[in-house]
Amino acid sequence: MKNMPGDSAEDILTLRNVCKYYKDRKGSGHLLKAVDGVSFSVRRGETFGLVGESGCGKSTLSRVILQLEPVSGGSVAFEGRDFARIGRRELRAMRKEMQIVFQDPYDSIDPRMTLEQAVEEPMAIHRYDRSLRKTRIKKLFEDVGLPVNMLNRYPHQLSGGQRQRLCIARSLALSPKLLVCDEAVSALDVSIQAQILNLMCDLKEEHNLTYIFISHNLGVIKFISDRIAVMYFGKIVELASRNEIFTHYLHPYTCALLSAAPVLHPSMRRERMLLTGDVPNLYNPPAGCVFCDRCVYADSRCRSEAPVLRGYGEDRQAACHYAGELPLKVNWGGAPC
Amino acid sequence: MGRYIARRLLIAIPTVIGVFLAVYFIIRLIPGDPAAIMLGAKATDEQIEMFRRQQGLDEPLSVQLGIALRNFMTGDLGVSIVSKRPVMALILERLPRTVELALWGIGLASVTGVILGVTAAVFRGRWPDYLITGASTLGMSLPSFYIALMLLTLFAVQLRWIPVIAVEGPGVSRFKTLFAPVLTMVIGNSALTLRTTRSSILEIMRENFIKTARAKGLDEWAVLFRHALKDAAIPIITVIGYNLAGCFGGAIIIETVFSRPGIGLLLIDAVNARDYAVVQGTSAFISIALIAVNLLTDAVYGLVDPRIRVEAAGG
Amino acid sequence: MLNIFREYKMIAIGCFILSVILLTAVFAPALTSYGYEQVDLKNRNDAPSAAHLMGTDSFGRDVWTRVLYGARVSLTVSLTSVAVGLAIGAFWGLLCGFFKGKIDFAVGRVMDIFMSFPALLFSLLIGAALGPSILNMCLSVGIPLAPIFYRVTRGAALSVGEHAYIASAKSMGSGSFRTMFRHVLPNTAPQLFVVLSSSMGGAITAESALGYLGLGIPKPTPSWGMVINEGRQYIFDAPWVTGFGGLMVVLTILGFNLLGDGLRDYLDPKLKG
Repeated sequence: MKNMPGDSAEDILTLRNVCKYYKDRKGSGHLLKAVDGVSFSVRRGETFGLVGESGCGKSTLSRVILQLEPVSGGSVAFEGRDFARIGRRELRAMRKEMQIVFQDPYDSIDPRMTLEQAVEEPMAIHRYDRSLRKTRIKKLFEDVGLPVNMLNRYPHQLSGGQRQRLCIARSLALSPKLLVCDEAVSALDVSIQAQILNLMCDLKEEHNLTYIFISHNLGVIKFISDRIAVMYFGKIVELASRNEIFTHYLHPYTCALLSAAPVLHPSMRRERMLLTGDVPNLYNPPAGCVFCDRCVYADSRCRSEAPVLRGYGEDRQAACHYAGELPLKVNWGGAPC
Repeated sequence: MGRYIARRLLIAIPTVIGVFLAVYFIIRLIPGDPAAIMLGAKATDEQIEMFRRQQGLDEPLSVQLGIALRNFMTGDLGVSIVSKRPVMALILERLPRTVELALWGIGLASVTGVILGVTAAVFRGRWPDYLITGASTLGMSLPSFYIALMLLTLFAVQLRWIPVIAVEGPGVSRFKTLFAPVLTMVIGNSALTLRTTRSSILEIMRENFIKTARAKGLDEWAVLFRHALKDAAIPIITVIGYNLAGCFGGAIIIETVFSRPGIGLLLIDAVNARDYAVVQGTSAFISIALIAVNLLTDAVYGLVDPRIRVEAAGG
Repeated sequence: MLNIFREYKMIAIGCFILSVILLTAVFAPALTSYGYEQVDLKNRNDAPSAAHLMGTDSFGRDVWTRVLYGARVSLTVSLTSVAVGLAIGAFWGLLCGFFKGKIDFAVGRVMDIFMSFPALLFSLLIGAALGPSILNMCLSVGIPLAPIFYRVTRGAALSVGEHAYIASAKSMGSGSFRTMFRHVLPNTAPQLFVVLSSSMGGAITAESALGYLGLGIPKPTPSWGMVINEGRQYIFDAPWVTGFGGLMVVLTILGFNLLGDGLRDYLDPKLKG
């Protein structure tokens, strides 16, 4: 399989067949497959976009990547080191290398800490020298555009945008190599979103970061990502570079997702691919392709045999039996950015 | 529904056994030779020796525990040292008095509480509301022994209207023996019911379906009784169950103050007489009664709230 | 602080009552000319008068004096008991709410057993097993309070654990115990304060009820429970002994209840009627 992710030096993070199942709370024995057999690798210095409807497993995937929850199967390797094979102490050291920015800036800072304490905390955990911490806090505040005189304030005194800046400062405190942004701008006003996105682009250059950017907003994903993976129902259905995916999508779900995005101008109105049916039952997914119940092209093969993610040329993968053969057509008008 | 109750019962069994073990070990913690303790200070060495053999106290602890547990399961709670009668018989003899007190006390307390709670909610923010909620705050701060003592002083000493020792006899009707103890329970237990009723009615009155009921022209009283009170039932039942469970503890105090020979007084007398077999048996009995009351409350939940039934059937 | 008092009158009244009681306990010697063990056999069971504000007991001792000194013991015992209950209950509650899973299940079943005892019965049994002393009194009043603290802390810890800042701390490499004590515990504090206040009332009740039953703190230390118990035998001749002893208990509980109710309104304005 030539397109399976490998451990090449340029890959910073490699996921192999990662699964995360939850048991049904009522004890019926059914498994909820939040993430099911996801494989991809993230290259050093790129912004990897992950897009999908809410509930498709994006956030679970981010929690698994950060080892906030153990995987049910498969492996996650950071710079070639498999998380499952390292000890607890080494894992703590490795946490320095990858950090996360959460969706809700109102919820991701302990309300009982001052801004200074919040940014200092990661450095205190990893026993940075005290004087170094102070200078670093100031530098980080400047980097994210927060006034230094706010150091002694509490999070509830900040606006949403300021809080997200604080979260970013906090996550950069340990000089990570990889930053996972889980819907990092979704809770913000559109004008603030743009500011934060620009800030993140700047910070990426300055701090040599790699981003995994998770969002349900195609506009945001298109603006910031180099490569994009489309997720549906716990699986990656398509993965390609930004330009490819917006013009030569191969999976019908990608097509539907793109056509669902609003367009700016009435003249750009186009034919849309509308989805019928419901999202599959979480506890009882279809036997074949997870998308078959809602796909207009689905046939008996789709219903019985699950397609695997296969390569279609350089940097293009799709999980559809008929990838490239379907008459998918949407004029992607583009979202506001 | 049956399944729901069956599951609750299943969970209760280990708790009952745990309760018995806890009582058993706490009594065992009392310093000294268990045989000497059980027989009291006046026992001779031969008596102690015989008792040890009888009760299997010379066996290893695990064997003793096994025997005690087996006896417990068959309803044998041992024999009182003071009266030489089986503990179970003593309890059953005293039980009706305590049950009578609990049912009247909690029953009347609940009725009073709900009526006052509804009144306070209806007159919200006006003087009857302030009067009732103020009185309930005071009521919640009155320990039951204090209420009981004050009532005893008032009715038995000042007015000479009820007997000092609450036992029926010539010129002493059942009503007179029950009156003051029940009143104590009503004062002590209606406050919480009242508060819960008031706050849950006020909360429900804010909800949309009440607005709908009003909008379709139902008058206030119909809204209150047909809709609001029905939905306030769950928290009210919770509190009544809580009170009923708590009244076993309350009975210990109330029966002592009024010298009313129920289970509570049996326990206190046994503690004072160091009759540990009775202490052990009565404690276990009271705790199991409490578990039973909690089970009952759960079952009533199931009857009142269809959601719980459905959830249980689905699981 | 003044604003809180103005807006939440119950907090203000509760604080006022409690500070008066606390001050009388602290300055007890200045507020009376008698000693708490000062026997006066000529004036036994005297009704309240100018010389004896609350009357005298069966030994002719001044009830007001005994109540003042009793406040010291009763408040100390209650405070220590609540600390015992808090330490046990909050620790296990925090552990269960944070880790969930098997430990939660196991501790939960043990707590089920503890909760099946009426608190007074539980106190009685522990008291009987440990024997009479001030420290044992604290344990026998405090241990039955643990399940309440356990339940509240566990519930609060469960809901705090859902917040992203807990996951955030974890992702920074904060260990379980650090996260638990630095982030979860401080954020459960508001709920704990409410229970703390109401369980102080419970502890005072328990101390005096056990005292009434004659299973309280051993002589000669005067506590409210003891004053009530000593007055009990003479309830017909000198009801003021038990009456005033109990009145102090009622006032103190009232103070803690008002404070607790006010705190709950302050922390969760939604619940305000």
